[in-house]
Amino acid sequence: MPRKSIRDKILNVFYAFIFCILAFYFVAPVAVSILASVYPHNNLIAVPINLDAKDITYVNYWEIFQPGAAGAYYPIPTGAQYFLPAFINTLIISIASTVGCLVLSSLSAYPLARLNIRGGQNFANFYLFIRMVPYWAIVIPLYILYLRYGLFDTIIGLIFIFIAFITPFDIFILKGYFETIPSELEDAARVDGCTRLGALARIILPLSIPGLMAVSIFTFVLTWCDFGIPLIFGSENARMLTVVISLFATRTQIEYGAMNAAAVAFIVPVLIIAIVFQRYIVSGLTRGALKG
Amino acid sequence: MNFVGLQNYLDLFTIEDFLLILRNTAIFASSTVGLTLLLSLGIALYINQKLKVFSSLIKSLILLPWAVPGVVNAMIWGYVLNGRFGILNWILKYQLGVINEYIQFLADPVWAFASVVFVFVWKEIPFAVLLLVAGLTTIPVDLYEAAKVDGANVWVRFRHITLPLMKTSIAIVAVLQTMFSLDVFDVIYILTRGGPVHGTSVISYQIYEQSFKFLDFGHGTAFAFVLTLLILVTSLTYIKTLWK
Repeated sequence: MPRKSIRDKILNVFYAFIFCILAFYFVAPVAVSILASVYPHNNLIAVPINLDAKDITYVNYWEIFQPGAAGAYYPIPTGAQYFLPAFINTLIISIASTVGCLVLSSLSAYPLARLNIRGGQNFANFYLFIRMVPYWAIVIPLYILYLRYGLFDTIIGLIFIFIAFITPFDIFILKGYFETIPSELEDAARVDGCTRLGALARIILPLSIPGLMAVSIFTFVLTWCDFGIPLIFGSENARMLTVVISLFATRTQIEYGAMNAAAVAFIVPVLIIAIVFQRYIVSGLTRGALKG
Repeated sequence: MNFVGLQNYLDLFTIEDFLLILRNTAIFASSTVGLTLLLSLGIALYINQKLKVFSSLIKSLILLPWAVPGVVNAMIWGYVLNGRFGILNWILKYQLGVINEYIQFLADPVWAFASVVFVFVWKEIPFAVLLLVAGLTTIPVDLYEAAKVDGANVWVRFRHITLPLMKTSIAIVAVLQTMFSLDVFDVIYILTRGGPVHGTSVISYQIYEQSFKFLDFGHGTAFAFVLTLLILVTSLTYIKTLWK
């Protein structure tokens, strides 16, 4: 049927066209950032912008990873001197929060999914409802509490906040995930003399590795990318990367080159995680989340 | 510390631009939720077409905005939209020749608001798409086949099969998205600081400004309660209308 094939061809062109638009939409800002990170500041603020290929330089990256090494380009200190300590802080906080969330949420999602607790569903909804309360609505009482108990501006304090904020969401996903695992497997283990905890550790957890992966990636990325929490609770000793990046913009003159280099250095780890674990993110997250 | 009763709440109404801030919050939330839902539903349907190369590529590319932290996203766009040397202005004037004067994307109230909405939506789309794609894959293919046999065209199939079966997913995305957009902070903090003249100021930003910039915790908390109330009302409405 020739008519059908013409229609298919038009449809294919249409799909390709949509694809180009979408690809441009998603990639363009990141591409701009990468491009801007290899030009000196003066080229970037020239009107019209000066994209001369012979001006390409790595000086911005030097400034980020070895503050002061690119002295001629950056006579005034930028926010870059805080970059490396903040990178380490962020790494510690993200990993610790991920581990904490994983332990807490798997231990509390299991009874919600398996034991027929009276009002168990209400508990689950309650968790979700807690997650609905926005961070900015409870930041002030938290701030006062933290000042009083000496947790303000400490790494451990930040870890506590992140765990408290992300765990409800993790419980919601994991509960859905645990429910997709047939309970016969667990019953068999129980008959053979396994305790509840033993069944959780030996049967449920190994079977829900995709779900656990999704949850940990999500927790890690949420912690890594958050801005509101570290801005208030990590002002100096526990400064995180997002706060350092925002420092580039609070100077009277914004160092666009260094800022973009920092942005690229910031995106790359998350991007690698996202690409490597793409399968888990999509399947693990959605299998659990959409069940309820 | 003195007990002031309801004074902090009454003060809200005398604070300059309180109604403007409320209006901004409402417009921001509704426009970002609407735009995100529409765009991500479109993209999800596109991915669900299962075109060999395109769909899987988009599925990977979509993780890009997700991996970009909100702050970095706002900073990049701040450079792109800059009114003196921004790339977008450069493209519009020197490459396309559409404009004669640089547009002040972040200094003009209307443009600034549109920019903030646009930048926020860019970051929010991937998560919504992931949830919607998962919802789409749970729809049995037989339904579409049967509808095709009965002579239903694309629109009818979408309207009477996809939409009803996607109701839960759409409700989840709408609720989460409303919450995210009422909780917006980094984009506004980096791009406009609530300016020009409260043009892009929303409640969540006001909580920050009142309590941590002006160190006025009383008014900050009053704003926080307004925000909580707003979220409570909207989520209850969603649950009533969509979650049945």
